[in-house]
Amino acid sequence: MAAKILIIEDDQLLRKIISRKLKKEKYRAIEATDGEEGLRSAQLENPDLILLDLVLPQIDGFEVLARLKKNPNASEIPVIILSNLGDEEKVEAGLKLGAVDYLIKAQLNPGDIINKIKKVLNKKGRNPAFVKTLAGKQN
Amino acid sequence: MVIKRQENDKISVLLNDLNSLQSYVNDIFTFSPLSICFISPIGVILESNPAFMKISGLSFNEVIGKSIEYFFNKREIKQVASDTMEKGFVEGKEVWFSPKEKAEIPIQVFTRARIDEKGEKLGYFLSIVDLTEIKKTQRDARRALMSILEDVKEEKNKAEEEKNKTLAIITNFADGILVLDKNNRISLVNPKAESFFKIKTKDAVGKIISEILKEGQFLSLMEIFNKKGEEFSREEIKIKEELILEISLVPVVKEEKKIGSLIILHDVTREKLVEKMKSEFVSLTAHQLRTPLSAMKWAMRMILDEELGKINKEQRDFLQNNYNSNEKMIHLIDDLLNVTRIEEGRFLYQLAPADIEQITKEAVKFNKESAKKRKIKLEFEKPAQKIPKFMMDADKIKMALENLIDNGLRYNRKGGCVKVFLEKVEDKVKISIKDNGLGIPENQYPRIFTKFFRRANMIKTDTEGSGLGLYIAKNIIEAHRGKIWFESEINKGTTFYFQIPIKKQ
Repeated sequence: MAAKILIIEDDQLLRKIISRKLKKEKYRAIEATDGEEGLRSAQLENPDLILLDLVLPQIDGFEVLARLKKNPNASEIPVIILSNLGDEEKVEAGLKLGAVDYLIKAQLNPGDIINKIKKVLNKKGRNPAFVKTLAGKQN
Repeated sequence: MVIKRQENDKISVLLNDLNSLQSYVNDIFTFSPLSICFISPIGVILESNPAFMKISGLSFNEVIGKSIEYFFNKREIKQVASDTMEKGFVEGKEVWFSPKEKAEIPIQVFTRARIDEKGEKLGYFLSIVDLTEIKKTQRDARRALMSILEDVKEEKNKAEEEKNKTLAIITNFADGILVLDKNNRISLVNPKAESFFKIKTKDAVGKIISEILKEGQFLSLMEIFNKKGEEFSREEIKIKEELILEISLVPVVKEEKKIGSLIILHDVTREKLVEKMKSEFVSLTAHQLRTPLSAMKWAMRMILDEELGKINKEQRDFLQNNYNSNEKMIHLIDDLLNVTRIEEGRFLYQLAPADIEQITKEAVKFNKESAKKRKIKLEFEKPAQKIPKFMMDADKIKMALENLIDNGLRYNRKGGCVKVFLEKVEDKVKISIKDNGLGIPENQYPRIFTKFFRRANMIKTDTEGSGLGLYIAKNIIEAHRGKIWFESEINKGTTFYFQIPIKKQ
């Protein structure tokens, strides 16, 4: 089974591009347009990785991240922060809350993001508890 | 007849002796500088020596027979006379003496009564001692003393006034002030400080500072004290959400000895709030600008990578140009953000031990792609000896290196090269980035490190940098207490150097 990636991003164009790229790389992409939807999807779909934007309508990305980590069903899912807020305090805060990486959209290309995702999933793959993701990294 | 002659001789001798004695007494009487006169029982001057005549202003004829009351206050002299007759003498009584046609003078009067064998009062000697000079000296001394006392009093008042002025300043000072004595006990707390710490002066005076800082809130303040010790300036501590203070500790020194310390507490809560708001605005603006740029970047990337179908050369060229412009804007925003932070002092430097060789390698690697595209050789020459880890902000130093290497590539020609050297020079590390490119015209030397400056002799086909790279690099190097400089020659190339001290702690 291909790995499931949840994208929580309110900007439609960015979301679509990432989705398209993920699908091209044979991942399954799930889209959420705001924090609440993202949390629901995380709970329901049990993705292998979450791409999380920080500036979202209503609740922001930090709040989403905190709640994900508090939820026993979702806390183990690796979260990569994908944001255009780049200041050091935000990066520190994100990593402290448990994100595995913090990427700045404007500084990367979709291909770079895919590489980062692969890196994280590979790491995860070594853990026998997440055997199902091994198929996802066939790319 | 013989007996009579013997008696006559005896008498002669006695008479001679008497004469001699009289002569002797007369001489003393006349010589004496002390004024002496002999007064009859009813107060008439019977005899007077020259000194008395002098002080009284009378001639011999005038003084003899004069009543002694002429010169004195009647009541006073009568008292003197009766005391003399009663006790036999008066010693040193102070009275006023009025000489003829002259002003009164202060004197001491001495008397001695003469009484014959039968007890008859013959009269009394009276002598006077002129106290004018003594009195004058006394008066002058007293005046001088009074004058000194006046001066002292005035000085004291001035000092008091100064003290009051200073106290008024301290009391009304907008900042909190704590004065510590040389044993670090509190000697003064001004009202502002009282309000910060929620204590009263009377409770605080005499205590050591740690005693008045209650738990929790002020522990951070104690940490600063213990860490920084004798003197520190503008350390920030957060007392609570609504109170952020900037604290400075200044030793008070007199003649090279420390007699106390002054602690100044400056409320920067509002400034911090404004700073925070400004920061958030800048951050948000950068974010808002980056969002559409990211969308464009990604979309163009996908088209260029032919993920949406094949494209022809014309389409490719168009899009590539677009993509490059977009990249330029993204880099400009990054640089602007960094510059804003530098200017706000918020360009946070986090020092940690790091390997400069590793960082340099990474900076070189970062530029490898760009070098390849421009067909420029990019090399790194390792140091002869391994340089040990030392304190620096690795990310920032890497940023500075990347900027400098990028510059070397940008202002260079196809087939050129950029070489990076790393070496240890005494207690510093020196990095050189040498290119054989265009060089810098001499008239542009002063502006090289300024904001938005770009060299004039640019190759037009290259996308331009933001003009902020060197400004940022300079700030980073100088924040590490280092130096940055360059050497250049037109059409031969430029070498940028920077040096940072090796700090272990």
